[in-house]
Formats: sequence, structure tokens, C-alpha cells
Amino acid sequence: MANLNRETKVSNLIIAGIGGQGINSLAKVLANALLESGYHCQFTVHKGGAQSLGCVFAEIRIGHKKLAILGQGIPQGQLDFLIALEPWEALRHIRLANPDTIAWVEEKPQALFVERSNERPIESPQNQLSALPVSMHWRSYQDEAKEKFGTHKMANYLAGKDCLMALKKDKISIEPKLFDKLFYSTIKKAVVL
Amino acid sequence: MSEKKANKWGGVLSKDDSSTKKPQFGDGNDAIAWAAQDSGVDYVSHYPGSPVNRVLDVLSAEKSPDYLINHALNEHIAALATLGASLCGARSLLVMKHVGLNIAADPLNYSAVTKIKRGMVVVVGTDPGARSSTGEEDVHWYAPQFNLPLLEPVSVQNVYDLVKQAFVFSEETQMPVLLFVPGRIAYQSSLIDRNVERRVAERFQFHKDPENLINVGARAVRNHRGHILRLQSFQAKTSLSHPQFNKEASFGVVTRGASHAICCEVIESLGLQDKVALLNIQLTHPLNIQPFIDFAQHKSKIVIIEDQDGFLETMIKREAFGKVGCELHGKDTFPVWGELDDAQIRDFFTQEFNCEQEISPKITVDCPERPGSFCEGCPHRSSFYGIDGALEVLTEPEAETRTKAETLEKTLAKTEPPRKGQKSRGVYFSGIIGGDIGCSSLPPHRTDWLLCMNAGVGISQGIAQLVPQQPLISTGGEGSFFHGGIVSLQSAIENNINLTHLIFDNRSVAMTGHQDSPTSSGKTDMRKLLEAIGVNHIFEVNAFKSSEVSEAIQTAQQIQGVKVIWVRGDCALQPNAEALRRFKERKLFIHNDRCNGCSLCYDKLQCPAIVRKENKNKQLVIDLQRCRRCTACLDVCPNHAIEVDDPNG
Repeated sequence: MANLNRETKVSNLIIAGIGGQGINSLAKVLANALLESGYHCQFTVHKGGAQSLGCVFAEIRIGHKKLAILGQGIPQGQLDFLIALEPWEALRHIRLANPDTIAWVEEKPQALFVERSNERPIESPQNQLSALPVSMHWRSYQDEAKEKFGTHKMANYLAGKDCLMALKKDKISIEPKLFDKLFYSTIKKAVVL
Repeated sequence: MSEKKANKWGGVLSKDDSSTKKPQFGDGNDAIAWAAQDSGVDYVSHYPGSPVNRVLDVLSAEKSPDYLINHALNEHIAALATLGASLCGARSLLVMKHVGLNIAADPLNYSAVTKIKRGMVVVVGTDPGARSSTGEEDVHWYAPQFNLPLLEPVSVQNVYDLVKQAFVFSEETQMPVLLFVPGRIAYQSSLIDRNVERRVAERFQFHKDPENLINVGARAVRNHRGHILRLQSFQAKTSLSHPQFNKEASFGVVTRGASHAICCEVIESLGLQDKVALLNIQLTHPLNIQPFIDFAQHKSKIVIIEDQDGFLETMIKREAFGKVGCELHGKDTFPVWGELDDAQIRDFFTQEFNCEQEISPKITVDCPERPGSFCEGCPHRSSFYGIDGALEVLTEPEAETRTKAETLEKTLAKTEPPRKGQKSRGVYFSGIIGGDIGCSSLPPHRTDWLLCMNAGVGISQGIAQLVPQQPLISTGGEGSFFHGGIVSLQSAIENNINLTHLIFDNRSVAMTGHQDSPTSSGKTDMRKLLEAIGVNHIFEVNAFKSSEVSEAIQTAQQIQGVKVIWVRGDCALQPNAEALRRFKERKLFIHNDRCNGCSLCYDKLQCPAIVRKENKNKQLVIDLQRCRRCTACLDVCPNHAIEVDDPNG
């Protein structure tokens, strides 16, 4: 493949989770923070019909220069960063990863409900992810958010902070203060809390 | 309301001024809404549906809008209302999802002969890959059926530009213009450059026009002819086709819609810019073939890469028949099902050009699908618990039948063991649950079918007439009921069908973003409406009391004729003041000393707020962070192990 050089390289990030965790809101905050920091980006949020508890993920594509026309999906093997608020949802997108991909993943799974009717035994997502040749960072976003902010709903804030850290690897820098400002002004629940 | 606006806007149409706004970050839904606003739209009608469900949120959020909004109860009404507005000289916008076009098809078939007086744009959200729909129906074929122009954007900016362009084309041709936005562009976000047209609208007026509006007999044929001639004239002079990369290359690719961006990225990343010529076509119907014929010169092979059935391929082959000499491929190379993705297109180019690729190690994991689920506090959860309970009682077989069934079960079990929790294969005594579109169908295994709007009350009628011995419950939300369910139910009454229908009234069209329904607006009296269409047996029950639902079904099943069980319980995500109070003040507990571990609340009710402790005993507890205090679990626990602490009762 003709690799893109640093100037034209696109950094690809997926934020994944389930409905109700604030994936869409976090993607919007990050996108605005990137734009205000002088980068270019496009993102696509994928969600099904469920209002909550269904799969949700945002594909964010970031460039130092104005993005050429890019497909809406991240190509196979070109996922640079994966931030997941739920380990099954990390597993769902890990197929796009390569050996340099870095992942930050919540360690506590949320019920799939097929588990409860127990149609077939499935290896835990933690075990499956740990066995892969991908740099994994296990996090306790939900518990940490509950401890720090009194609610697990702020887990997306902590995931956002990890996104900022992750993007530094590709020399994409967002001021934490800018992220905080945008997060608290965009996400009403954060203000209420 | 319209009168007031017409007076306020009295004036003469002019487009003498325009201004450019600072680029704004938005998704495809924003782009549609902003383009309509910036085009000076006067009237908007819609029926909510993903992936274009947010368009009306954006338009409704405008504090002092210059347009009227009609929240129609189905797409048929929305299309007719929009047509009416355009006949009065208003620029109008109609928004729906792809399957809605089936419902709107009747009026849209006739829309062009009316020679509308101002632009009418029909935005349709399509769903290749069925991400947010029960099917990936390809609605492109409606364009040649309606004989209307069809525009297909490739990006969010292009959505904005083409909506504006569509108004211009519509006014030029005096017919509505279709614009299809696939889900992945509708939910994609990027910067959008906006350009506001400053328009002063004409005074809206309906001019009698029997030549075009009384479409019968000889007039119908003459108007049809006029329509086709206008379309042909437009086709001859209009093409939105854009060549890219090396025009002289012998290999050509033609794209439309979302496949364009993927092709561009793949071609560039594989370094094939010099070896490939690409032609993107935005006006796919009527197709002006000349740009394609020019593009096809010196080509040895052209591949049309598009999602779904191969509409563009068909149009190209029809129009270019006998005019080009190269190989033409399309759906012999790419599938008609699913959404084309980077991997499929990359594989194609890699093989075609024998490219070397850096291949990452293939990662294989076992990740089950996460099917939809009811939210915590959703009234449908306990309603379905009640339905299951009722059907268990109603399908309890006589001793002889049970013996036969059990024998058969044992025989089948030798070849295919039943899944855990599966009591019966339904050989003798299963009940039937008719499912409908909406939040009530989110866990896809709760009903026996999930197909289209009003399939619950509709399909059930045929089954009820043919297999009366099998207990049957048809279901549907109040959104579906007002969409077309009223007529379906009335039809059952007129045909003396023995049917028990549940209307899940959560006072919200929840799945598509919590639009109001007639029961939330308070303008419709459901009981009076049901009585008026001839429903003699109406059971009003509390959705959060599964036992009430179950008892009502069992009673209703003993009565002949159409019975309606009106299951009332507000959507958990649209809490009223009482629900908010409950959430703040109530606490629910599981007394582990009373819990005998039957796990009905966990396994069968499947409330996400009831979780197992990660300790040795795996005790069940209520996660109060997730619990919405609906108290549905209280009704489920046979041991009274769940208690509610409410200081205010």
C-alpha cells in the first residue's frame, strides 16, 4: 500500500460503547475540540434503533491538513486508537486494528442479554482482547466516574481524557482546558452534576 | 396559522441578496435542515424515521422560524400536505425514511402532473446494510416509476449543496425532486459551508387549475405526456457528473452516493490515480448519458460501484445501449445486499491491478451481536412479561395433547437439544405474538415477526382467520396505531375477526427520537376513538403491572370479536413529573433472605438494573444508578423479595 506520509496521514479513532453512555456527545465534543485546535476531522456515529443499551460507535478521522475525500468507514488494519466504554464493544471493532493500535477499554462488561438466555458459551471479551497482539490498557471508567463524580454517566468524560492522551502519539494535541470547556458546555448532564 | 404567515410575508419573490455564514460543524441531518432554511423553505412535513430523524429536530429548534411544520401521522399525509403547500406557492420540504416512500408512493405518483408552483424537495433517508431499519429495501426504483429527478449526494457538504440545488431543479421542472441520503452520510459530521439565500416569499395563494389538478380521462393522458416531456427536456440539458483522476485511463469506475468516497480513498491509498478514471454521477434519474459516453471513450472496461440493487448500472445500460463498446460491469462484481465497505472495494482494486498491500494480521474474535433491548424502566418490558405469562396459561395443553407434545419434544431433542430456557418448540401449544415496528420490537426475539409498520395487527388477521385454535396476540405501539393501525383494526371489526390487539401507549414515538404522538398531545381521546370504530371490548391496563396485562389478555381471549388492550405507561426516557419524583425519592431493594434465586427478574424480565453481585453467592441486587423506579419487578417476584421504600407513598 502506498502509505500516507505524516503530513497527509489520517489518524483513525473509534469510540465505542452502548446507547446511553454518551458516545455521540463525546464524539461531538472531541470533533469541536479538534477543529478549534486547528486540525481537520470528520466523524460518523453509528447506532441502531435502540434508544439505549444498543451498540453505538463513532469513527473519527483526523488530519493535520484538510482531509481529502474519505470513506465513512475506517479501513481494515488502519485503526490507530480504540477507546471503548464496554469490552464487548471493543471486541466488535478490534478487527480493524493493527499491531500498532492502542486501545483503552473498560474492563466491566454490560449484559448482552443473549448471555441471560445463554444460547451458547462465549469466551469473555477481556480474555479474547488480552490474547490479541494489540496494546491494551484496561480501565474502570464506570467505577472511577462513580467515585469521582458520583455517577457512572461521567465515564465518557474519562474516556475523552484518554482520547486526548492517545492522540498525542500522532502529534495531535488538544488543550485539556478546551476539552473541559466544550464537554461541560455540550453535555448538559455534566453541568447538572 | 397559514393565513397569519401569508399576511406577514406579503411581498414579491426576489433572490437579490445572499450571504455566506461561517462554516459550521454538522451531520447530514443538519445539512438537510440548514440547506432548507438557507433556501428559504416555507413549509416542512415529515414522518420520523432513521437515518433522517434529526432533520425536524434541527428545524424545530429554530426560535423564530420562517416556515411552518406539519408533523404528519404518516408519510402519505406528509406527501399530500407538502404538495398542497407547493401548489400554494411555498417552497416545501418532505422528509421520511426509505420505507416511508412506500406509504407516500401513491401521491408522489401524481405529484408531477400538478405542475407545482414552487419547489418541493423530497428527502429520503436510505439504509443499505439495514443499520436502523427492518430492511434495506432499495427505493431507487421509485424514481423511474414516479418519473421524478433523483439526486444522490456523496458527502455532508454535498447534501447541503444538493438540497439547495433540488429546490432550483424542482422549480425549473415544476415537479418534486427526490434526494436520497444513505445512513452513513446522514450520520456523518464535517464542516459545512453555508450560503443563505435571502428570499421574500410571494403571498401564498391557491389558484384554481383544473387543467392540471383534475387529472382524469383525456386530461390525465395529456398531463402525463406534459410531465414526461418536461422531464426529457430537463434530462437533455442537465447532468451532474464529475470526472476524477486520469480521464485517459483505459479502466473506468462509475460511482454514486456513499460508494464514491470509499472508492476515492481506496484509489488514492493504493496509488492508482494514474491508472483509473472515475466518474461520479449525482443526478441518477433521469440520466443524461452524454457525460458517460464521453467518459467511456478509450476505455476497455468500466465498473459501476454502488450500493444495493444496481440502479445506476441499469440506467446506464439502458441509456448507453449500443453507444459504447467497452465492457460494463456492476452487480456481477459487487453484491446487491449489505452496504459496500472499504474492504470489498479495496479487494476489488487490489485484484484488478495486482497491487501489493501491507496486510495487517487478520484478527478473529467471537463477538456476538448485541441485539436491541428495552431501556431500564421501559413499559414494554413488563408488558411482554405479562404477554408471555398469559400465553403460558392460554397454551397449557390438555393431558393427551401434552403427552403427544412431550413425546415429540424428546424425539427432536435427540437431534437438536433445546436452548436453555426454551420450554417448547411450539409443536403443539405455542402462542403467537404479532410484532410491529417501534421500541416494542427492540429485543427481536419477543415477537414472532418483525417486518413493517402495522404488521402486528395486519398479519395477525390472516392468521386468526386460518388458525383460530392457536392463541394469538397482536401488538403495536400507539405511533403505529395512528400511522395506519386504526384502519387495520377497523378492517378487523368489519370482517368479524377474532383478534386481541395490544396498543402499547408510551405517549411518544420513542424509537425515532421521542416525537409527540396523539396521546401525548392530549388532542385525541383514545377510548372514544376505539369505541367510535366499533371496538366493544377495551381493557385499560398499567404497563408496569405485568399481572394486569396478563389477566386482561386471558379475559379478552374468552371473548369473540376484536378486543383492544390499551397498555398505558410512559416512555422511561420521557419521564413526567411523577416519574422524576419517584426517581428521586424511591429506593428499591432485594431482600436476599427472601429471594430463593428463581431469577425471574434477572433472566425473564431481564431488567438491566437487576445485576448479580460479583461474590460467591452471585446474589441479585438492584443497581440504583440504573433503576428508573418503575417497580415492574415488584409484580414479577413470587417471593415478595423486592421492596420499595418511598417516603411519599
